[in-house]
Amino acid sequence: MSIAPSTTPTSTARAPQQFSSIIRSERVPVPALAVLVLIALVMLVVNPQFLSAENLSTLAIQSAVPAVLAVGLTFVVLMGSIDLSIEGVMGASGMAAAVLLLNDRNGFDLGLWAVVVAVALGAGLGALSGFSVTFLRVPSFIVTIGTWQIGLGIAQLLFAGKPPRIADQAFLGFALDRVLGLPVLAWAALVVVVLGWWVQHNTRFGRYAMCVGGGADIARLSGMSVRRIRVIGFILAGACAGLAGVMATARTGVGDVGIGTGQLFITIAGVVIGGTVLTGGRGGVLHSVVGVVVMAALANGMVLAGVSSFIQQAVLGAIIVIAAVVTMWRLRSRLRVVK
Amino acid sequence: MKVPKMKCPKYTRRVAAVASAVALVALSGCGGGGGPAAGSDEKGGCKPEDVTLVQSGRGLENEYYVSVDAGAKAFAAAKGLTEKYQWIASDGDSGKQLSQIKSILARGGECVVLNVDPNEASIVPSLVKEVDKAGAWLVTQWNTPAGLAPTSDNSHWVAHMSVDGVPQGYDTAKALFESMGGEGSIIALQGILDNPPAKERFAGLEKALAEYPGIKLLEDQTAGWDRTKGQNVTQSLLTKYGDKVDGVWAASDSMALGAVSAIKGAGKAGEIKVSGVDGLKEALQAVADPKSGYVATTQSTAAAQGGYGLALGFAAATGEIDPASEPAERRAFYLKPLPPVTAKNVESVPDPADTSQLNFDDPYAAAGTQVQP
Repeated sequence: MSIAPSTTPTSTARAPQQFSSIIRSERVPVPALAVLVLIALVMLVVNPQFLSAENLSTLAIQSAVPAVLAVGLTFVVLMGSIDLSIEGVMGASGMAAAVLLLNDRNGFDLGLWAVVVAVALGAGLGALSGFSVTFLRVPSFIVTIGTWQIGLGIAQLLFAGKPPRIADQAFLGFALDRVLGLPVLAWAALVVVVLGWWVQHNTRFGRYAMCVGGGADIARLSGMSVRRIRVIGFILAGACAGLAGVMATARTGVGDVGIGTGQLFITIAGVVIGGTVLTGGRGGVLHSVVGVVVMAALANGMVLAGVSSFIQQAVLGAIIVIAAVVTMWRLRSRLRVVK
Repeated sequence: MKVPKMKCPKYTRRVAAVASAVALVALSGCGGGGGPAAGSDEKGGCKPEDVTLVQSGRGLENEYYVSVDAGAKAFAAAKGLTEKYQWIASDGDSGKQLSQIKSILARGGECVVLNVDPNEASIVPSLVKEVDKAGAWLVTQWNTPAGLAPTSDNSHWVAHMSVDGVPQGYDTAKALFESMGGEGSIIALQGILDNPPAKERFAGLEKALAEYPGIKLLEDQTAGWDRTKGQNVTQSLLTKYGDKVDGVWAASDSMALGAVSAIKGAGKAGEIKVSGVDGLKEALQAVADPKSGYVATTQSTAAAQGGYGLALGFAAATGEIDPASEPAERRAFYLKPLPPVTAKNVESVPDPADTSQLNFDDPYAAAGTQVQP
């Protein structure tokens, strides 16, 4: 077969080209997916239960909260900022939901409205961060440490020394009742992820956010309202953290100031492993979500593999470093300075 | 809170205004409030009404510390010192805890009584040094570096109090095994592995396992004292072992409550038995509910640690006791072990924040066996 190279490529020739363009495209988190596949392959040898339907649904539940957090955080990180307030916002919103739902502490019984209030509280804290960053020009790193503490403070105020136990069975059912094999919480997280993905690719805000991260001055000179985009980003992140706090509270069934403990680490590690670069402008919602699933799969996989508790932490750390090397390999070539 | 009078008037304002009060006081040469440098073996001579009571712990978002605070407040009220009682939160930050204590001591330390739950064992030596310098009175809880305990040549580190985790782990494990009929398999959730209570409680479990050959420990995993982690780890272990799991032993109630949620999610509520340690209110409620599967926990020691901790420091500051002349088992001791909480006695167990059981006439009322250095 000797077809001259100048002729139009046949459809068979186009397929591998398309494939390689997907591999190279930054729209799909290929390296992070590869890490996930690698984990699955290793686990297939060590303990095949990892891929059982039951364990996959366990994984879905365990990824649900960090996935929602990652969606919100992605927009902030895409713009080159950071939101460290996750754990505080989760505490505030989770506790707000707990005291507003039917509980053993007071007479409130707002049902789903409690969730709305809690998410709005998260969005409000996000707005506070956003306005401070844009109008008061305080670095997001500092501001969000502040809103983190404010969130914990609100949670502590609502806690008042006695944990409110939720008695609203419909709300508790979100973590227990299964629809098509998965608890409602996991489906909720999936909806948030799809919405986040849609916002990133199909709205003006999503596209502008990417530009702001690529270069805020250029974005401004092009006539974008950088401030507005930043504020919206922080509000989205706050709302997502608020929802995550409510979801985590549904899992435990009790208001807890420390409900978000440990989530900041999982989420930021997941976002970075996914390939969303902390300096902004690269990555996306899908990347971050795959990243946090990697984190959840690691924690779950190590228990299934029977890795001793004494070395788990070290193993986890080592795998994170390796995963980061793998996923960010390509980014390194393009004259990017890694700090 | 009333600020104790400074004896270096020239600097008073600046000291009050400047955050780095400690540095200034040190420079001005009136360390620790300007009193005569307190000798290490001197007896306390404070008037009861001059004593300031300070309780330091992680934070009031944690039910345990709410009860510690309740016990400490009860003691302050018993001595009419409610106005001079102060709670300071370290928020899990050792540096913060140390600097908070330093700045309190800088305002005049001789009549300050500190009941401190050190964030880490490693800050105890610095704490003791600061307290010595200021002539204040210190009682420590839970954490102290191995081998370090109050000694007979130093009165100002009045006592170290802790809770022996071995009987706690043992008693709850035994109650768990009994509820399973002495047969079956369990999984264990450990605390942060290098924490002494985590080690002791697990040792208690191992002791009980040796006595029950019918019980098999399938696996132990750490869940870092954390409720969500306890839930996630239990979920994964239930997937791994399926129907083989008959019981979950957890080193703390928070992790045990996480395990209960995981078990509920797996549709096995009540079938798999769970035990915890600490006596959290929620755990007590679960033990009282036979459907929960929560079979045992321990009684809370929080109020006793807050109340008796301050009581000991107060007795030393007012000269009622001379710690240096007390025997070693009264300088570093475990609280007397309390019987575990099971369905049988849960109705009679007091609320964790209940302080009516505390007897402040004898500050050593709760002292049990010596902590071996």
